[in-house]
Amino acid sequence: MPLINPSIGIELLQFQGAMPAWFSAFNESVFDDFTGAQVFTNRWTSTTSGAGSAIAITTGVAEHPGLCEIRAGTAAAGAAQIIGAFPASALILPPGRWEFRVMANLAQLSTVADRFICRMGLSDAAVTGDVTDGVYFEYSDNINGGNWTLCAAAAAVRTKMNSGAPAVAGSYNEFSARGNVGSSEISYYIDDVLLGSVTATIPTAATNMIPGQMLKSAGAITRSLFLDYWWYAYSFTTGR
Amino acid sequence: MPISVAGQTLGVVPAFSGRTTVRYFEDFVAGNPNNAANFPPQEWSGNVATPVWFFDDPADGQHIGAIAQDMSLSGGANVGQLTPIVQLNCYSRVEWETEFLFSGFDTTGGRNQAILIGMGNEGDGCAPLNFIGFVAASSSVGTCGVAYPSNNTLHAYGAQGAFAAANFFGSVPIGDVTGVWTKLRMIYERSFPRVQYYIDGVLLGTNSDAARIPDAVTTPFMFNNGVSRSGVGAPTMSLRFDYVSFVGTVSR
Repeated sequence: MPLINPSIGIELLQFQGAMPAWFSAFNESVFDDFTGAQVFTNRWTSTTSGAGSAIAITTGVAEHPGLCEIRAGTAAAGAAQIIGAFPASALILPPGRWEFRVMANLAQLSTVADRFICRMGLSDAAVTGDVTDGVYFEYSDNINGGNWTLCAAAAAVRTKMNSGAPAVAGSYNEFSARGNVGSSEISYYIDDVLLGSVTATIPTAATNMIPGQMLKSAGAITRSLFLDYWWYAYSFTTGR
Repeated sequence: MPISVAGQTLGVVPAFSGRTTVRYFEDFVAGNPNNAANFPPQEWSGNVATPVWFFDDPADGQHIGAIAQDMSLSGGANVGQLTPIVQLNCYSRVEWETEFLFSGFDTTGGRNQAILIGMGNEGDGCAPLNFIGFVAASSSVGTCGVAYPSNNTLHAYGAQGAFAAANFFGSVPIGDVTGVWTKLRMIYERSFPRVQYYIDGVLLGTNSDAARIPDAVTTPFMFNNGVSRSGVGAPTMSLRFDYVSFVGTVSR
């Protein structure tokens, strides 16, 4: 008789005495809800620069349990990011389908006096400088009028598209990008609303996960990005 | 034709469920035995005192990979606490469950004992302040300086910042859950708010008092053995857990 495992809930239909299906043959994924006592150092490398810059797990708010604060500090060039703790950039996008989703809350907007760039997505970048190979969202007050910019970079050649969606401070939104088979086209979404697609300068070299990066260029006030969760999934074209 | 297994299809990115669901599940089959330092790092970093956590393969063959907190102390309290961050009121609903095996109290030498199993931010003691779970004591006198409604009884319990007689919401004799693997389950629903307590699927009690449901940060899995400092000798007692599960529902 089939039984629904009461400890799991209703999602997984399991049969007593039967081996459960193996789930990793077709896909791989990384998910972090940032509800640990600290940033998992076996998953993420934290990098900060300048006084007051920090990476910190903070308690959540209603419907957003567990947050990771990416805080660029008081130095004019303060910076902070977390990036996948791979020995080297290790994600190669083609040929499978892939997708990332990051729910984030930009605590403040960039201004002339307190200017910063925020990036989220896939990137091989160090904490300074733009991306060499990656797929990401980018924001600053002086880029596309403060709208989110949809970016793809291959060997430091970049495509940057104005999403038309202004950044909003203090709002939780889910930013996602999806690549088709072969990564010939990348589609970008905020809260599952399609903002645009890119077909040029899609990276084929290795990249990495960069859930959040804050990079200041002016001002003496800390600026923070709060990450609620990060998810990356890749579907193989050939089962393993 | 696409190949599909267990709802997944080759070449199709699996559906993302994390926007509505947060899960912790630990079956205690990793790590090296008898060494707390080898407990899965960070995700399950714990406040672990002597005696250490260790992994176990119980003889019944049905509870492979367990964690135990056995104690044989000459006094003092002991706590094992796994420390993901959880704040109940971040979630619309939480389902928490564990299966445990309890050896029973040993009051040799006059040392009274207590156990706490549930979610909480307690570091020590058996008068939990911000905690929902199940508690029992061999005696209300000398164990931890507080009076449970009855001794040798497993009580459903909920507290927010203060110990009180009104924190108890149902009970069974400790003998009913001694020496046999037993499932404990709690369901928290913020909209009421309320917590329902179950033992082996049977509703033990309901806590509908918002003032007795913690709103502070807790950890989803807290297991606490306490032995009174009064008395003599080194009584032994064991708590073993086969798995722990936490499923939180959010709208984000």
